[in-house]
Amino acid sequence: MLFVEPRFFLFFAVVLTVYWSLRSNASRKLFLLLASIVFYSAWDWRFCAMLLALASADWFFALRIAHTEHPLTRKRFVSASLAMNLSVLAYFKYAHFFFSSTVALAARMHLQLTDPTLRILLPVGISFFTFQSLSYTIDVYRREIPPVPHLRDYLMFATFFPQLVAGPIVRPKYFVPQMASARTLTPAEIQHALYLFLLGYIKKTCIADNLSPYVDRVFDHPAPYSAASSITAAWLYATQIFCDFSGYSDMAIAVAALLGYKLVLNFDAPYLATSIQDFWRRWHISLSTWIRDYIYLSLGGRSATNRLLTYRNILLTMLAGGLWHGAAWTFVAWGGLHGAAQIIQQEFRRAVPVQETQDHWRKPLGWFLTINFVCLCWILFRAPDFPTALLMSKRYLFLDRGGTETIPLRLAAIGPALLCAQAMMRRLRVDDRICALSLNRFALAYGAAWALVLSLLPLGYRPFLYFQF
Amino acid sequence: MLTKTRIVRPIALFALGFATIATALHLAVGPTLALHADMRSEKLRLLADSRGHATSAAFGSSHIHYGFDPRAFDAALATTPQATHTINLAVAGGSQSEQRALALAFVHQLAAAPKPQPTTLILLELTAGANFTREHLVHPRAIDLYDWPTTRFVLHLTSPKMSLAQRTGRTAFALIAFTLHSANVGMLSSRLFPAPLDTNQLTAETIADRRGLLVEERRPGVLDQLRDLEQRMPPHPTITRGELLPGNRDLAEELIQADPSRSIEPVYIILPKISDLAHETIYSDSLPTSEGPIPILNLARPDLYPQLYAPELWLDDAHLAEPGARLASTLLAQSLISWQATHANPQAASPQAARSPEAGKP
Repeated sequence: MLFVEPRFFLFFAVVLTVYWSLRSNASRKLFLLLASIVFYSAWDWRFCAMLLALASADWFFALRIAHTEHPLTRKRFVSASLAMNLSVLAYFKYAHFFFSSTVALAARMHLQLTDPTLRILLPVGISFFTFQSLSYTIDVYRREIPPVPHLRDYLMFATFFPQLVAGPIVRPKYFVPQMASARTLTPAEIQHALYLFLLGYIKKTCIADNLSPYVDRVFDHPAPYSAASSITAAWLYATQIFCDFSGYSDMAIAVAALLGYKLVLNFDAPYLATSIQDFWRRWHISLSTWIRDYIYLSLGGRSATNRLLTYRNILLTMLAGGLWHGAAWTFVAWGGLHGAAQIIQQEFRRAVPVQETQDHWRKPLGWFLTINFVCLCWILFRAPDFPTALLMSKRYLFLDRGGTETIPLRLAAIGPALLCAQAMMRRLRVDDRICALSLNRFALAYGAAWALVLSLLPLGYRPFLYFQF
Repeated sequence: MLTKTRIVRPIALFALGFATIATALHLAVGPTLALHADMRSEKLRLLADSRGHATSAAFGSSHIHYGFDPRAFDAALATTPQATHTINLAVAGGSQSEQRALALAFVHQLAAAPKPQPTTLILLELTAGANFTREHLVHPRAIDLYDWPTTRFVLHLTSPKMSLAQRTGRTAFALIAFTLHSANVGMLSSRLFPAPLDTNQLTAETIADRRGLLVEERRPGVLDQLRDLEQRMPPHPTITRGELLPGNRDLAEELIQADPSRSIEPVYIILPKISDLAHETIYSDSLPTSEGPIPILNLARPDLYPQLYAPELWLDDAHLAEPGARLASTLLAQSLISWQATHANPQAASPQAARSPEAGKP
């Protein structure tokens, strides 16, 4: 069930009606848990059982960790949680990748291995809910949060349907305290949530899904396309992936808000970033803070004495981040490139320290280099294999003129136009202004906007790109 | 919190905002049949390319798309005074609603032609489904068609003899599609991001002067399956009498009246399916209308046309292969000549001439 499908609207209308008609917080939480089970079961009820089993086990591990002071016992339980979640993730997401890579490596060493035919279905959102569950046991282990005493409450947190399948990854220390009291909603909050939902819907359906056929056309068979079309396709993909994922996040935040819960901001205009480090502070914030807190810091983080150690930690963290996105070497390479870029950036800053007087050229140049580097890396992210990525990258860098086939080049203007619109909206604080409208004016504008949005639907729902992660 | 009185006004304003913009967009989008809609778009290109050449056309679903060969049909009529140049404008997965839209587009194109055309045959599939399949409800092929006249036409394709579920389903589909059409769902997107025509499909339908006939290779093993299927059929089919619906009559009359200055002659046709060997549906040989009787040429009659059921003529159990299409189209033409001969009055020998207020009335 996708947020853009008519059946979700029906489902959510029922959920909202029942949820707000319930009086006690306990019954609301129980109802939300049931709604989440129904939501996830719409894909596959068997994986719903697995999700509940994993969450229950993590709840139990966390209780055991909290109820003992014995370091070894605490370590055993947190290790059990880590092993369980990572094994599930490894089996469902990486088993095929591991076997095929081993067979390929053996073939290079002139050893013949048979690739076992694995028929493993990937549970939707597995990377999200395993990371979320892991952060809970680790936070309890680090004594950053107390354990959730009631299983029902923990299951509600772990399966909360607005963010279950594609994030944002919710941290327990942010979400669990909200569950303590019955949620309330003001008309202004409703207005803001409705605005955010519409914004997300526009990004996903009107922009990302309409661009998708052009991107697919070039990336699926790049050889006959011209360099200009390849560059256009790369820009379109950058637009598509941002609108697709941030659109989903916006809708998830809005759906949660209509239930009275706040989720963290997941995107903060990442294509306006002036450095790669800045980009990662703005792109998929819930994931980048997760890998910072649980991988980068666990590896030692920034070393005061040894720069190489810091760089190693950055590189390993970004490689893991790349692998999280998908079981393919192209994703690993994508993460590696972003890690390398951050290291180069840090070295450059050491060589040419930032001075305020340089802002007028340094920021525009930084933005130009960052956006183009990010687009170049998206090629690797989207391409089905390295040869395709190499061909597309050469064309992006004007090293290959390509063929004669084209896609409409006017589409190249969409990305820059949307970027300008985003910068303007931030400067003019459009969301604040819309939410400050009277309810009547807001309703009139909202109706008009939906009429426009429906006419821009691409007809034929495409799943959210980030579902595959 | 919001009170009941505070909520009514915003809802009314929401509806007002929606309706205002939807109306403006509807006017801005223009003719919706021109918007891209998969295979229909290739057929519309074929129609545009046939301007000035085609004098007749066949419409309907995949049965006609695969099963009507314009070359064979024209060849069989070539020696008669009613020689035609026919194109196949049927679309796989099509419906009565789509058949109506394409047939009207064909007649309007003829009407715009400067030179008078000879008599025009409009071959319509009598048994095409009223609507598209459920999967095609939220699809340009449905949404772009269902204006109010189309919806009303589909509503006339029900009868009290149908089951309640069928009647409700037909009506609900038409009304939902009409709502989506009125809300312009996907139309602006189709204008801004037009999908390209499928050039492979277009080539496949025009190569060797196919004029819209869809030809495919039979999948391996299908021939044996068809032989096996035919062997399992009962020796004699059960026979039921098919019902003619008010919508069938409406469409024929609408097409004739769309261009009164020309000789538009609708003809209802039915092509065979292998399942006819078990269940045969028979129809009267003409449909009475205010414009006179309309021929009904039913080839789904194993008792009359046993030669059409040879497995080698079939692509699968519902669609004819190219040799089958050739034979069926020749038989259709012969059947039409025969119908004209038997229904002719002393004044003339064409279905249109046979249209007198009395002719064909039950």
